[in-house]
Amino acid sequence: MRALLPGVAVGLLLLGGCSAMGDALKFEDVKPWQRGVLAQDDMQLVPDAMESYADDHLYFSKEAATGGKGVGGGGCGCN
Amino acid sequence: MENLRSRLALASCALLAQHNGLAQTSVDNDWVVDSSLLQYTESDDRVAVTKLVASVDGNVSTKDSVSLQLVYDTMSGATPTGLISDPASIETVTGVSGGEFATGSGAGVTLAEFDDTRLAAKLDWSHQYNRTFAVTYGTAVSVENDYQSIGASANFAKDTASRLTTFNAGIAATFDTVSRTGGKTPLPRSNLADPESEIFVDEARRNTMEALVGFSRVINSRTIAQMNVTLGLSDGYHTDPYKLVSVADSDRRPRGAVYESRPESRERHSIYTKLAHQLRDGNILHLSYRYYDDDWDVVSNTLEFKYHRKLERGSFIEPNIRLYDQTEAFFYTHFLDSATSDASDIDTIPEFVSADYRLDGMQSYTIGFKYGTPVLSGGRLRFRASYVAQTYDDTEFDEHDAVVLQLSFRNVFQ
Repeated sequence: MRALLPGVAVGLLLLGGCSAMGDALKFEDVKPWQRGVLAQDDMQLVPDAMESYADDHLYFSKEAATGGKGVGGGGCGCN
Repeated sequence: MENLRSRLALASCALLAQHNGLAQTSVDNDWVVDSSLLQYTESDDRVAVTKLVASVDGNVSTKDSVSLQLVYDTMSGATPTGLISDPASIETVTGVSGGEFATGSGAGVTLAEFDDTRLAAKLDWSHQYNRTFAVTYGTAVSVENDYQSIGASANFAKDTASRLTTFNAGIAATFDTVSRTGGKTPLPRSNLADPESEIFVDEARRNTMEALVGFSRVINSRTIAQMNVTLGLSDGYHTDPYKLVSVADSDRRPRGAVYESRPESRERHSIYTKLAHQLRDGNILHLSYRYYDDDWDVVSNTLEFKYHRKLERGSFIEPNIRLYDQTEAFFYTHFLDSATSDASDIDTIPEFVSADYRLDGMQSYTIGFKYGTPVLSGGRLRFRASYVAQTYDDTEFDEHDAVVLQLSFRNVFQ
């Protein structure tokens, strides 16, 4: 079951991702007055700072790999 | 008549200029307060963490903003020591982060109980030097019984003239002090059963430098993408002062134990990419991928996907999945073979050795959802639940899972 769930998820992800990719990767010259969607909270690269901070700390504590999103911030011993 | 028109035009210009002048000196003084309560619970009564986070962000002038974040963690439960189980003696002792640690052979002590609290604070100040260039200066401090960390950072953001692309660069320095509870730190590879107790030194230190370059790019009116490349260099005591390695015979019977030993430096690299895209129906996809490697031979891939589905009246639901894998560190071992290693003779112990499950090869996934809804005026309440499962290649505990529950509330004060 544990092996199956990620497999199904990747399948769905690729399916959804591919169909959306065509739209997503079409380059356009976007004027300032055309950025209403991009200004929405949920379109930000870090849309939920509380969730992002908690996840970063959780995975930093439990996995060997860390970082990538930014630099700075305190460390911890982490059990 | 012409003269009157000129005067009216001049008066209008003067009024507009005055208005602009006022606009430039007034502060857009929205303050954003965000707060969160998180409960992390591992199965089998392992680690439990309660995390409280609060932050406040606001403008202090037309060009300056500040952000303050405070964190309070309580951590308790039992964590693997790295030792293998001894069928003759399976027990749990208090040890990590806030208690007495068992001495003696350590055989059979696969879990160590702990109880600790952590306080952390982070203060960022951002200054907009001109229309397209801003710098964020940050400081951070984190304190717990056996670990102190202090750091500083600077992050630079430069927009192109069209503001479609933002180039980012960042640098950070972190200074950590590591010890066991009580301020003593074991010498790597020393024998757990050493009766002389000469195996402890004072607090150990580790310094870390991180650097980042990257950019974010508006691809179209509904898509933004980001890429970062980061480098991390750390130097000093990387050993976990609580982790042990068993020495066992061919029948897996423990013959002793030593404190683990990790290299005194680490070089990490990562490439992180992210895409946020609003679909034509208004719902939003977030997709990210990170490649990571380091000079401990850990190579990792992380893929994360979120689907933000809008509901009625500003509410939303957001299912998400995260997939992660990593290879083992070059010095990871389940246990040492007593045919070649003797806990009482440090010369027979490899220079670098660890049985910390986090350095083993691992596959992990997280699956969860978040629900959010507007509350009050300008507020938003979010609740999320996630299930985390990890599977290891060769550790004492083959699998491990946890549940994360988080309740957050954000409000904008205008």
